[in-house]
Amino acid sequence: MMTDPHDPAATHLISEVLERWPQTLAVFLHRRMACPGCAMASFMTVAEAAACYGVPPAELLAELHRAIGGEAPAGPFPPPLPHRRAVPVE
Amino acid sequence: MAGPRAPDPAVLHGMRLFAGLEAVDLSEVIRFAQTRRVPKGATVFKQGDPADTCHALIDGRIKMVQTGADGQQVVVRFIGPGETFGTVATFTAASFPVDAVAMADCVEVTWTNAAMTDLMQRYPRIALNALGIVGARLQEVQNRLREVSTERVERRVAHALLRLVRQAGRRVEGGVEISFPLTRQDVAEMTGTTLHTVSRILSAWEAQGLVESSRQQVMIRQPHRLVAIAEDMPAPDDESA
Repeated sequence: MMTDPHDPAATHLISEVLERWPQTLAVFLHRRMACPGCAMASFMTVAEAAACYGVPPAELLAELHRAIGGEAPAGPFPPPLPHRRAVPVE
Repeated sequence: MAGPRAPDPAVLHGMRLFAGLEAVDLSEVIRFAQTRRVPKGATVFKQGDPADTCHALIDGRIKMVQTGADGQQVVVRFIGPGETFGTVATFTAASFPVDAVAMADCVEVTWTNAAMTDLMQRYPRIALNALGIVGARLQEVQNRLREVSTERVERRVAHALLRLVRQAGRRVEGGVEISFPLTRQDVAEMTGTTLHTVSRILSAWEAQGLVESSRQQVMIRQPHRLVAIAEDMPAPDDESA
């Protein structure tokens, strides 16, 4: 499926991108996307994941390219989108 | 320095804690109170402080903020004039469960626990009202607990499906299919719940277009949404984002 690409494309699977270019991990963490380790990473493309998280695909691809070029976002990273609901108190 | 004048007992009208008391009784209730100004930004009490005072807001606005074990802060409620706050804690717990922070310059009246106990003995109606307040809170918490337990089962079912996807998932037209026969009974056994509960959950998910499940096959039509349920993430705002 992926022959020998030089850069991630919108049609690549997330798992393929992470495997081929491990330095892209930081981009997903920075964008608070739960893709690394996700069960669906091998079934969804970069474009699909971007749409799910509300990230413009062109921006995501640009960040992935930069990370591969050595400019990955630095940590610490917040957890992906925590969802908190409080018990009502007086 | 003298504090602000004791407010008109009429400010206690509408407070559930003092419902049913005559005007003359309300004057006594106010007499037992301290009145004070709280400037904007000041903390009235902090989470973990001993719950030794009952509070009623006369003027201004208070926010109640809870800090979780992970340091995350959540505003759980806003208090406006004419409302009591912190009282459930004084009746039931050793310490306040939240910070109370003044969002504007405030005027509040407070009663020590000793004063409140004394008032309750003079005016048993106050104790009855307090019982009603605590009962209502208990009901709220029970409802919320039921919700949370339901959510937990949903998450377990979602996690089980994701495990199966890892093991035997296959991309097909329309979604990700679990490529071996899988019954609802199988899912119930995987998640330690009943067939009835799994059926209810899967039917609800089907109605939402999240999964498609025939008697022996499960297909996930919205992979990200299933992950969001499993990982307790907020639902995507817009499918077409």
